[in-house]
Formats: sequence, structure tokens, C-alpha cells
Amino acid sequence: MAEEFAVLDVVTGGRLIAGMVVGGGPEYYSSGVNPAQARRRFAEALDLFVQSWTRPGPFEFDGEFYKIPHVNPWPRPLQQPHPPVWIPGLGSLETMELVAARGFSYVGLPFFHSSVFERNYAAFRQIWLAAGRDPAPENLGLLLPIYVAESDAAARAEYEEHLWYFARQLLNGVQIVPPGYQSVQSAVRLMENASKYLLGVSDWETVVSGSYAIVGSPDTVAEKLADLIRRLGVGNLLGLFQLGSLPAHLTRANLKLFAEQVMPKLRAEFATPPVWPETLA
Amino acid sequence: MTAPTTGPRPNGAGPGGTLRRIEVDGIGTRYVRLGQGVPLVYLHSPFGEVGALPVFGALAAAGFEVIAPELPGFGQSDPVTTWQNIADVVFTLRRILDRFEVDRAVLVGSSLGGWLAAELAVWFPERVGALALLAPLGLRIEGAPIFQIFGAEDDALLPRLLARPTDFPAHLAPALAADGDATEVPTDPLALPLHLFRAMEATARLGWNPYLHDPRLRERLGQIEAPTVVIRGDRDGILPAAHAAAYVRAIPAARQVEIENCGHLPALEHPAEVAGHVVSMSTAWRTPSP
Repeated sequence: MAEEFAVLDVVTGGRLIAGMVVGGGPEYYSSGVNPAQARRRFAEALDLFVQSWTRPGPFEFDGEFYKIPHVNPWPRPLQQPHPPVWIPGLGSLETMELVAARGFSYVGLPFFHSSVFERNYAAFRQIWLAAGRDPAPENLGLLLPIYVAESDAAARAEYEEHLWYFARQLLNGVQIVPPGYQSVQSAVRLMENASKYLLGVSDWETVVSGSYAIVGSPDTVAEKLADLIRRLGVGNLLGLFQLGSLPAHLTRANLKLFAEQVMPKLRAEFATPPVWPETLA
Repeated sequence: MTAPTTGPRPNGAGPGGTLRRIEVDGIGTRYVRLGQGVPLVYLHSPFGEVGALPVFGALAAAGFEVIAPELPGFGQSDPVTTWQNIADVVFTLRRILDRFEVDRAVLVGSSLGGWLAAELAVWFPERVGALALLAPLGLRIEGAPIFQIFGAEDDALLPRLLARPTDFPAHLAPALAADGDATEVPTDPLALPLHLFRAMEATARLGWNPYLHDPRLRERLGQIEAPTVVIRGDRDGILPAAHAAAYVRAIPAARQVEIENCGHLPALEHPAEVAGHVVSMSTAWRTPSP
């Protein structure tokens, strides 16, 4: 996998971002990997990746889970010392601590009420700063469903049924957590957030007020995104422009409007990255 | 005599199953020690039952010195996060026996603990005088799968686990007691969920995959020489009857007992009856045949 990432980095001229995921709860049931070892195994796999990208081979890797007599990947990545690593999280403090310790980047998993993001991102910023690092909006990303149409009413009319299809037909099961996957502290945190998950939302007003998805006219979407970006202190925005049963022609229209009418507004608004609230105090 | 472990000697028997704490190779381990006589080590199920349990009282009254460790990672014992499989637990358990200066004991194991007792008898036969395996996990039997306990909701799990499912909290209440005080009743409503959260984590650590069994165990069971009784409840919905039968077939000196109106945890549901079977089985051990 480290080789495949490196190939991608080379053929894209050094534009690769390597996403590394501990794995969702249901995947431990389907893969047979032991959830009680998940975090140690994940941390060790990260070591193996970074060493594969940065250490001249061949070398021996002798880990608790991975024992490789001759690590000797080819090619090496174009970006030096290695491509940026992004790790998504549901709010586990362990994940944030790992990201901060290694100087990687963090992105919160979507489909929660914006208050959950505010709480989690505040925790991340504090953990990042406590690790002795400078404020770094570029190491924090926001991943959200976005839908743009000519007007707020048109956006809702075109998008709503597809969002509900996703929330009611496709989302269920993601929240399964196998034993050992989380610390007690993180499990309690997740339980507190459970009522603020899209799975339990039943009306459009809550979708809008909780920013579960950013839906509306170009002005509405730009305004809401700018507000969230500022409040969360994120330097990267990742849009989910297709969701559930949203058909291809609407997805393309969505992307086109976003690129032509929302992106210029956001670029103008954030000529410089947002400032973390912690540094204002 | 086995290699000594460090630290002061564990305390003697506390009143009525008081939980105490010692260190075993640096791992804080809670335990109950009760009664005087032939050493008997009780190994708990995936649900981590320990404390002032009626079965310990019955065994102590029958002339045993009962030692019941709360295995690392369960309840309030420290976890061993490097455990990867049952063999790791067997070696930790051997050190726990060393710590209690128990050379040879009657082993009584429930479910997960029964699996562990069988493994210990395979690896360290000199430490095992007699075996009582209560609905022992540890084997995989084609066509008779062990019920999937991980992620099971209470309403699916408890009727399979106990003949009287509503007794579940009462059976585990003694495990929630604070160290040194068996009488203190925990009032925190999160105490039991937290206990089970840790118990399932510790069980998953060693039995997630292969699921609650050791593929090598069955071929090794024939080496067990200790007198053995395999006990199961007639209403066990976790472990199919074929598992107890397979143990009895594989261990030369084993016989089988079935307890009526009993689920997967006979030591909790029928403590006196279980104690009676342990007594008659261990009498066989202590009375050498001519």
C-alpha cells in the first residue's frame, strides 16, 4: 500500500494526500481484525508507512503486528519527506492525540449537528496546541454534504428526498461499535453525541439549523460555509457533492454552481486562513 | 516450588468474599480468597463474576481454600494490552498461581474460564489436581456455533445466558463492590454497564478471531490426566451441548453432568449443586486409585 500511495504521488506530480483510517466498527466484524488491538495496530501501521516512504531500503521492520524482513518499496513518493497524512475521527481523543503527536491532519466525520463539530474541533485545537505546535488551520479539515441550486427553495426541492434516502436507507449500521474499539471516555463522548447524528433526525428544519448538510442558493451556501470555517478554524473544506440517490445530472449542476458561484466568494473571504480562537485570547 | 514473584504475600481470607488487590508482575489484580483447605482456583466467565458469590461460600464450606482472581482487563483489574490470544492469558494465569504460592489446585472454570482451565491443564499439568469445566468455551464444532455474544443486545443475550434472565444484575453485583468491602452496594447506575464494557473488551482481546476458541486445543485435550467433570445447563443458549460432549470425549478421565433449569452460568444459578459436583470429582483426585 505504501508503494501504491507513492506511485499515485509520482503520477499526480506530488498532489497526493494519504488518508489513513482506523476502520469503522462494522469492518471489524467483516474483516476479523481484533478491535481490541485496533489502535495499537493502526499506530504501528502508520510507523510502517512513514518508514517505507522515508527510509532507504531494504530495512527490517519488526513490529508487534507487522514483521517484514526486507521493507524495500519502489518508487519513493515525490513529496518530501512524505505526502501529507489525513486521519478522520468521530471525536475520540485518542485519535486527536495521535494526529497532534505526529503533526498529521484531522478531519471530523460528517452527519453530526454542528455543535458536535464545535466541541470536537475545540478539543482538537487544544490537543494540537498542547502538543507544542503552532496554530495550523491547514491541518484541520471539514467534511460536509453540500448542495447548491438557483434558490434556497429549489435546492431543497431537488435535494431533500435524496438526503432522506441516504439517512434512512444507507446510514444505519455505521454506528456499530465492537468491544475494545474505544476507550470508556470515547464511548461516553460518542453516546452523548448520538442524539445529534443524522440517523435520528426526522425533519428538514433540523437538517438546516444543525448544518447536517449545507443546502441552498450560492449566497446561502457561501455564507453558511464561511461561518462554519471561521468558527471551527479549518483551513480545508471537503465537499460531499453526491449523496444517497442524488442523480448524476443534479450532482454535476451542484458542482458547477459551487465552482462558479461559491468558491470565488470563499476565496475572497479567506484570502488568509481563519484564525484559531485560542490565539485571540 | 515455582519461581517466586515479587511483593508481599497476598492477604489471607477476607470475610465473606471481600475483594482485595495484589500486583502480579506489576499488574494490579483483584481477587477473592476464602476458606481453608485444598486450594481451588475459580476462573470467571466473559462477564467477570467475582466477589462475595454464593458458590465461593459453598466451596469454602466444603473444605476448599477458594482463590478467585479477577483476570486482567476485567472489572477493576489492570488490563494487559499486549495479550493477543489465550496462550498469553495462560502464562499470566500461571504467574497468578505463583503469586498465591499455589503449586497444585482444583481448577473450576466457567465458560471463558473453563476454556482457560483446560488450556492450563494442557500447558502446565503439574499445577492442576482436578478440573471442573462449566460450559467451557474453547472448541469450534461444525454445525454447533457458539452464540455471538459480542454486540448482542440484552434481550437476545440474557435469555440464552440464564434460565432466570432477570437475575443477571444480581449475579454481577458482588463484582461491582469496592476493594476491601464486600457489603458496600454500588449505587452508580453506570457501574454495571462499565463493568460489562470492560469485560467484553477483555474477552474480545483474546477471543475475537478465532471466535472464543483455540483451533489447536482439541487435539491436545487427550494429554490431560486430571480427573475432570464437565458441567452444563440444560437451557444453555450460548454453548450448544455438542461442546461439553466433545470435551468429555477428548479428556480421558472426564465425565459429564447436566444441571436442570440452568443456563450458561451454572456456578451462578446453581451454586450448591455445582459445589457438590466439584467435591465428588476432587475426592476422586485425592483418593489415589490402587
